[in-house]
Amino acid sequence: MNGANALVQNLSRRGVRHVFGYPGGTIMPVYDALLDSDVDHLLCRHEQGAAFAAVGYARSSGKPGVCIATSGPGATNLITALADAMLDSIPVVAITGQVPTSLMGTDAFQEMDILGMSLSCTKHSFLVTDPDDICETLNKAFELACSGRPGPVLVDIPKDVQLAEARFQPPLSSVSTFQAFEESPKITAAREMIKNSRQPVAYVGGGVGMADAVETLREFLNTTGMPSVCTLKGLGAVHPDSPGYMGMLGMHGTPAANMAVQESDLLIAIGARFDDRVTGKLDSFAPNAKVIHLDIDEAEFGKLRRPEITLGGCLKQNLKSLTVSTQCEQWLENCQARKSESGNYNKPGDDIYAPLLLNQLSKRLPENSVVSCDVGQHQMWVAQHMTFTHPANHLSSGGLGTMGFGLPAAIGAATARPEDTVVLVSGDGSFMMNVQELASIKRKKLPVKIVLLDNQRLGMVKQWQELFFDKRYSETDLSDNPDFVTLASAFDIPGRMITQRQEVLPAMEEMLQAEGAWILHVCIDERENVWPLVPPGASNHEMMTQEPTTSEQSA
Amino acid sequence: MSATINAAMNTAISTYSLDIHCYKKPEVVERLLRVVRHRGFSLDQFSMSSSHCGNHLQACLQVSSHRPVELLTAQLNKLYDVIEVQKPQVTSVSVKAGLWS
Repeated sequence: MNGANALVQNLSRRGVRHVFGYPGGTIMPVYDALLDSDVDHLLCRHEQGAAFAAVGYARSSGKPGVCIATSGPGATNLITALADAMLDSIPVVAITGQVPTSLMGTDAFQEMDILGMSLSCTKHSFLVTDPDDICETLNKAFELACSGRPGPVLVDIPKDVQLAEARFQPPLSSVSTFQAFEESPKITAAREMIKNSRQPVAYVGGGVGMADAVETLREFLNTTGMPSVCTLKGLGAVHPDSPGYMGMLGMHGTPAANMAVQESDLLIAIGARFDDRVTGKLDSFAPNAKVIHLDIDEAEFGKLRRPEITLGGCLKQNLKSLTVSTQCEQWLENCQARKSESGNYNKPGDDIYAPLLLNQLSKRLPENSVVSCDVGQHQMWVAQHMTFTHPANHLSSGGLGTMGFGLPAAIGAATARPEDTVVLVSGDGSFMMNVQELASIKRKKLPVKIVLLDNQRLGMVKQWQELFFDKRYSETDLSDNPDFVTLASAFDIPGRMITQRQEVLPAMEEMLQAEGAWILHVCIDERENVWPLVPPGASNHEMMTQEPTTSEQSA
Repeated sequence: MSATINAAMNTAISTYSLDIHCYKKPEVVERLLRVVRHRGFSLDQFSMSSSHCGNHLQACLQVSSHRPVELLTAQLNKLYDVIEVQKPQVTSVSVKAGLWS
């Protein structure tokens, strides 16, 4: 058995059923081995698409995603998606071919030091130089990607190592790492702090979903009765109908969420990391609150905000131990009253109002649908106006904010969860960044529903130019966009364009009833902006909630 | 005023001595130095030696920053090839403009 066959057998034996990739010179032995295996390979049309598909697969399924590329440009094309996975803590294993060991360091054709390039955007990376080490390295790579704070791991294998005779090793059987939980003084102190708090808030991040602690969190919130807010990546961890749920916090958070945090006397950060898009001006974030910080990654403790109590390790167990009753009924009522003041969709006129459309879409999607989105104004509208019952149902590039994420991530989700509806909500800017992946949808006949919100602008950049750069619109006009319905039809994807509000519901119904992939091209007014907005450098209570220039024509 | 790390930062630059025990891998020094740079510390001195068995390295770094050194040691400890970062020693404190000030 050669190294490539050992690698593919190891993947198969560990239950990897789908991988995403693109072949090339130095990875050909692995592709040859894939032909005889039960591992299904999805050919994407760009390595970045393959890696984002692996990210979407991992995020929607909870299993590690796997992507494969050749050396040089194939490997470098993976980098953006690996960086995305790094910042959002997504378990991905990337396997790259490398030029033969005798040529390494000679600037050979398609040689690039991908190990060196990967240092800052992976949890770890390996270069395998001994064929007998291939399986052991792969075992380490999967263990690392999935353990602790998850993340991407890269395994670079020279072509001659893939072709050499290799020793096969099966995957490591998972060993339970259960440890008896011991009551610690910190737990006791944290519990007392919660009991004595009058205005506590749970600040819920993506770590809850990653730790499979959604139900434990909900029990914690039910018992304590405290208000809760979610980060972009935490959306879905708190049930949207939970009485204390105030919505997303941060730059485009709800007033109810931001004000609850600002006025809190105790902030319980659960799998969250005080990202700058969440905190606004850090010095005045939750200024009167003590902080209890729960996270698997202890390097997050005190990185940006100094907590009174830190609880590392198992999030589930820690949350269980903090589940106590509180005395914050009045505080909860105050927060609920503020929440009821906000939000309506009464936008006058016949134009399509994207927030309303997304709210209507959210109500019509089957239970447990997956929504993948790209980056920009539409991404924030999705976060604000759609509801999610689990973090795995909302795929959004949070930390890196990568335009082009949405389409391939939806492909990964449709592969992982063929029984569930998968919707891509994209913008006209983002959609074009990985539009070649429509070919992957066609190839695998994936029934991805595409809602393309088209304002013929790079909307979020344009919004900032309008608000903070004196309306100097530099390179954000996309009015020369292609005809998206015609473009999709070239990939056998039917659909239609709509421009008027009365067309929305019939078109949405048609899309959801269609058997296969479908595109709904939605033309929206380029003057619509995302509100509320915490301006850069401002505190979260200094939200801009009204559009200052609604009656003006932008340039 | 909340206890943010920004609030803790000032123009005082501290110099620390770090002893790091790690596995001897070809790229391990790159990993260490990348983290030092990226997390806002400047490298003032560096030395390393292999262990007798040849599988381990002992790296001694002198770094300086206005940032708390715990932010750096926490990130170094996360590196897969790092076995131990010994408790850092403060070697000097000075008030001057730095790269990250």
